[in-house]
Amino acid sequence: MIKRILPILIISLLLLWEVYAMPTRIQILDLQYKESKLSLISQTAKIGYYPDRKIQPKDGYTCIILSENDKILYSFKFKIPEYTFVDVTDPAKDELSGGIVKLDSTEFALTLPYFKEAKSIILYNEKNNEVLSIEVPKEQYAAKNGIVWSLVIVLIVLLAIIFFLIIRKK
Amino acid sequence: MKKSQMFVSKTFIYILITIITAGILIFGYKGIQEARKNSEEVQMSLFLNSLKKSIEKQRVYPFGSTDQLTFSLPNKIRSVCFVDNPKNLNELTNSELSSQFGNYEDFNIFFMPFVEHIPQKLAGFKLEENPLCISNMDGKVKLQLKSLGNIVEISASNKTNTEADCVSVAYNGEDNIDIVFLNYGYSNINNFAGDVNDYIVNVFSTVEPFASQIDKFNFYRIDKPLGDVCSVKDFVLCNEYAVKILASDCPNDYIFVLVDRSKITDFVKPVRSSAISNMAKINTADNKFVLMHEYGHIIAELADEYVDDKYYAQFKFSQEDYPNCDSIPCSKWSGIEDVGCYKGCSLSQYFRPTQTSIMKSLKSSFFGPVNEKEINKYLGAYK
Repeated sequence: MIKRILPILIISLLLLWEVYAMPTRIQILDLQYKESKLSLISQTAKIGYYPDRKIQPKDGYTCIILSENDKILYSFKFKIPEYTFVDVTDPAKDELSGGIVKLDSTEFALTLPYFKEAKSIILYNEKNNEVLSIEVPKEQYAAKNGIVWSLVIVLIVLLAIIFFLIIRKK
Repeated sequence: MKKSQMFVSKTFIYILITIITAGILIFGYKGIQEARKNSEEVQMSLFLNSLKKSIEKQRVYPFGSTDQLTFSLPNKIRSVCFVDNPKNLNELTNSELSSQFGNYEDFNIFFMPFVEHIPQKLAGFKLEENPLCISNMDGKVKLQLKSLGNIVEISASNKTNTEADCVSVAYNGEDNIDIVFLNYGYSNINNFAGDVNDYIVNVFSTVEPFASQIDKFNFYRIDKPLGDVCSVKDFVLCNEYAVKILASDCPNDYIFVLVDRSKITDFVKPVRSSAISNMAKINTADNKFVLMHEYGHIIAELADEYVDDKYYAQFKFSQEDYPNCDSIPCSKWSGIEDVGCYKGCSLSQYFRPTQTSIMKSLKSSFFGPVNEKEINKYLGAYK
């Protein structure tokens, strides 16, 4: 009996496993660059998407996410957005004018993947000097749509059935 | 001139004015209707292509994987009905659909009102309930796609309407460049949806090198407005942190904030379109091609090819930092065909590769060989 039921239960268990494609857990850093100094204003974590960063600047700042044992989990290059291009359109001639505006201080944000095992985020400047270290807050990561809970319930039911069958056989 | 002659000529002028006015109104109305119809057709084709690609993507995911997706549809469509062809149709669900299906047995996607829209056929999906009709809520349909091996099961999404939706406007595949449109200042969100379609169809899909590689792009929009996150001054200022929190509801390699401005308001108080990091803020009153100009700045770090000495002289602007400005003899683009060395590139002392490209003037709708080559370097990162 157990031999017949077990495969069915295992298959049911596998079918219940819902792998969610995207989005994933992400974190967003709110940063300020003022008088050549970089500082963290705030940060948040949520379910969402982060840029794939297949296109990165050749030079610039480097952001590295480190694990507890100092393993690099993720890294990329970015530029501090000190300049903004502004373009005025002449509606009659469709000609452009304007140029660049240099911002005295700039607030910008970086969207990053979230790693459960991450310890810190380190930012390096163009000369590869560490300019900011951010501790990654630990949080209870609840799996989406209760996948874990559904698995736990299925396991309890599975154990209960096996237990029931063993007792009945005795 | 005699009085009677004056009367005749005056009457003739009035009749002529009436005829011209009527003509303008009739042709104008017809033109608007035609444009609306074309826009709806384009939106329908974007929906079908996005759905097809999403099904293809979901099929290769592990068995049981699900994805909740929101697709953009023309408002005119009341609902979209899916039919699982080989199965028997539950005629009680929708009798109108059953009779329609009788006439189009080879098709499996129907749009209500049925008489106004041609049914479509799409492979690779099955349904739990047959037929499955999903209402169009404010130009959006929400679906759940579940991988069942080599086939995908479509059902209604259980996502609530209160969630900030990521609307898939044109999906062309995984590992693409993802562009998300956000909105600021719109009083009617349907206008935002219309503008997004317009930028995709009439700008992105018409300008090279993007037009021939449009299948490397996915386009999304978020209908939830940015609210007081932005403010309009000479140019649009937004809190980037708040923008990125909202934008992260969709895949977001690049972010476009559309700022709704009427042409009259903008004539009185012009607002500049702008570009910074991976984000461009577009004044919708500007020529539509300004979006391409701003995208040139952010995707390939292209410089302005117009000259504004007063502006640029304030900064340490150097042609060395930009691929499309050079000093004489323009050796940066030697070997590239159909280019020259034209005076003026941000500063009048520098030179540009073409007489007029989109980086110089919005009269042009092409980037030119040098800029295209530069952009292609970046697009090459995507297969």
